[in-house]
Amino acid sequence: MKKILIANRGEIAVRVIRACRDMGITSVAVYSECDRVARHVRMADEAYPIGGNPPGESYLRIDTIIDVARKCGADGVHPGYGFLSENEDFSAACRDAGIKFLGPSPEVIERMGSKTAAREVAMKAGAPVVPGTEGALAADVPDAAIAKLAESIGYPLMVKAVAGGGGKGMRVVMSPDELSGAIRGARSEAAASFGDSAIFLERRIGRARHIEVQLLGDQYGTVVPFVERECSLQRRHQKVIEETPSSKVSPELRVRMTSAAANIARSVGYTGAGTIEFLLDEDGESFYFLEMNTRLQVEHPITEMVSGVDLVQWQIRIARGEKLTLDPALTIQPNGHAIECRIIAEDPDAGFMPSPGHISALRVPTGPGIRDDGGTEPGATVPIYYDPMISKLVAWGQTREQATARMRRALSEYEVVGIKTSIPFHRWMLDQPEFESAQFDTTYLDRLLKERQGAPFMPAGDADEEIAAIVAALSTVIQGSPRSSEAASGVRPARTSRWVSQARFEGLRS
Amino acid sequence: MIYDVDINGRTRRVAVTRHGQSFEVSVDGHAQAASVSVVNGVWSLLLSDRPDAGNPDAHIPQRSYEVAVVEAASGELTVHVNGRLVSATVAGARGSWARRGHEAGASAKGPQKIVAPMPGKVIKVLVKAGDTVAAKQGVVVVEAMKMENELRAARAGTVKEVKVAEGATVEAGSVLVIVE
Repeated sequence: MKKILIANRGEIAVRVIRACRDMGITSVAVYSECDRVARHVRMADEAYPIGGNPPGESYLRIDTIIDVARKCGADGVHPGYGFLSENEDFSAACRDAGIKFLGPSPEVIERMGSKTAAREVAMKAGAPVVPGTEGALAADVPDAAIAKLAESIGYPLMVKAVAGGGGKGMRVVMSPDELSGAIRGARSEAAASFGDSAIFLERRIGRARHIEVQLLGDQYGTVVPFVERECSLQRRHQKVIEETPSSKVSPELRVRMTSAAANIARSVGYTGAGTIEFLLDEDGESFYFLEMNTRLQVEHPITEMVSGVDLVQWQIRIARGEKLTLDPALTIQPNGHAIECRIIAEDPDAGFMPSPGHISALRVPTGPGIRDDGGTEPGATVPIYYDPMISKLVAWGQTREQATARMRRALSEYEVVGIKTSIPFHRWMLDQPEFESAQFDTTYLDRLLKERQGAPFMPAGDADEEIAAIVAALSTVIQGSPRSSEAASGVRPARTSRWVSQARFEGLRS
Repeated sequence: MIYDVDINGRTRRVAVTRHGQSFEVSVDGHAQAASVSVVNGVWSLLLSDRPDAGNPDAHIPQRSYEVAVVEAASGELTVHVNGRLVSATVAGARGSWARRGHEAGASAKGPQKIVAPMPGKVIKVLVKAGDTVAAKQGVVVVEAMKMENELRAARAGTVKEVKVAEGATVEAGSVLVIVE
């Protein structure tokens, strides 16, 4: 494999380009109109336009992307995550074009992408699943028949879309009288989001933790699982902080969970990087298969930090036909602890509203144990069309305490000027006693946020306000009346002021 | 120069005197020596309780801060300090533009329009005309940038009009709900 096209943007495109460069492989970026100057375009060896700003006109265009790949002579395509990464048609189109898709076959993507088919695979592989209906309940199954099935499963239960994901098409049903409303809601949401209104029922596992197992599979039937990731800190079913290992998984449980995950992947001939998600019950012993993600995940760097394995390089090596040479006994032994915070362009103090816009200044933390996988830079604009995540901040330490301390330090160093970010939320989160004691489940954060009723995460104290008053007054002195149009777009221009050059001189002198 | 700086509903009086390359600043009577250096849009601010700070022989503690200032079109400043974002409006010495800031704040009366901050799709309408809403209560859920975003009323009031239906696609700036 000599040339890889990355069918994605942002931090994950940058991440894949870096792996290509490490391996001496030529990287090809694709871009929508507003991404012409994006970081991934600048970093790649080659870059080609693929259309308009809405994803449907660019990053989701299978025909255009395959055409670019053919014309530029790419022999591999990396889909990243999101966009076309779990699209069986894209995997098939790559295969038909004679280009290696860095992921599983279209057949495996399709099978594991259906929640009911994936459940069957897991059951056959001997993995525990949440008790629920056998197959999909198509649109024509009457509510009365579903109510009968619900009685046999027991309440509370979940109504879930077969094609669902990311919390869409999912309803919690506490009692029988809520059932038909939940079915209606889940079906219409699923039809709108996925074009498929089929649903199924599952018993609701209360106070569960979300634990997932990363794995790699080669073309020769070898599957190697890694130490579990703890992803229970979620806001509206979106992960906000992930860590590995989980404080609640003993070495004995780790062996059971990783073997169950590997058995599922092996049974479908899984190739490439994938992740099996489990629910871990309150008892800390029983776990259930939830779903499989047939792609590289956002949170893959924490696994890389505690395993020393470059997962993206292995995706490439597997696609080239290499055999997995990792020792499975070692990949389930964590070296230290790693935590990830997803740095998102959003305003946590305004209900986590997205905050796209111009980044006028950006300082990314570094130092011992810190890794920042970012996709933007100072002067760049976070567009309104795509996922607002701008970077993933990862901290590694020999212990969870050290990793947490390093994460706190790195978050305090992180400076993003011009847009709002989730950093104040992360700093608050890391200081919660439940985070320190690792006592949380998937419902914890939503409950806590509801109780707080939108209270600011990092309220300014009296001392902060005094400094702000000084800065506001000084900036008015320095700039004169602060109304230049340049200033309106971001930080005050430094070069125009004679005072600033003096100040700079003074700074150099002292 | 004397400036009145409004922060979080409280006005602080800041007196600034320039001494060559550094400043003496006094906030509500608390005087400090300030030294500023700006590189790449980020300030290095050194504050000390005595004006002869900065001279190593004087052994005066000098506290170091990194801060940044962003000015909105309304003239309101956002100061980044210690990881907090503090909104500040400067009034005083130069009158005309400061009043503009007050006008922006004056929109705290009259009907409030809840508008879509960016293009998206209305996922849920949580209120109907005539409903009473509390401050910070969610009124509409809009999906944008792959996230569901709850738009909230800034102040308590009564819903006068709901201008969108669930499933509608909206442009940035579209008025979704009017609360009186």
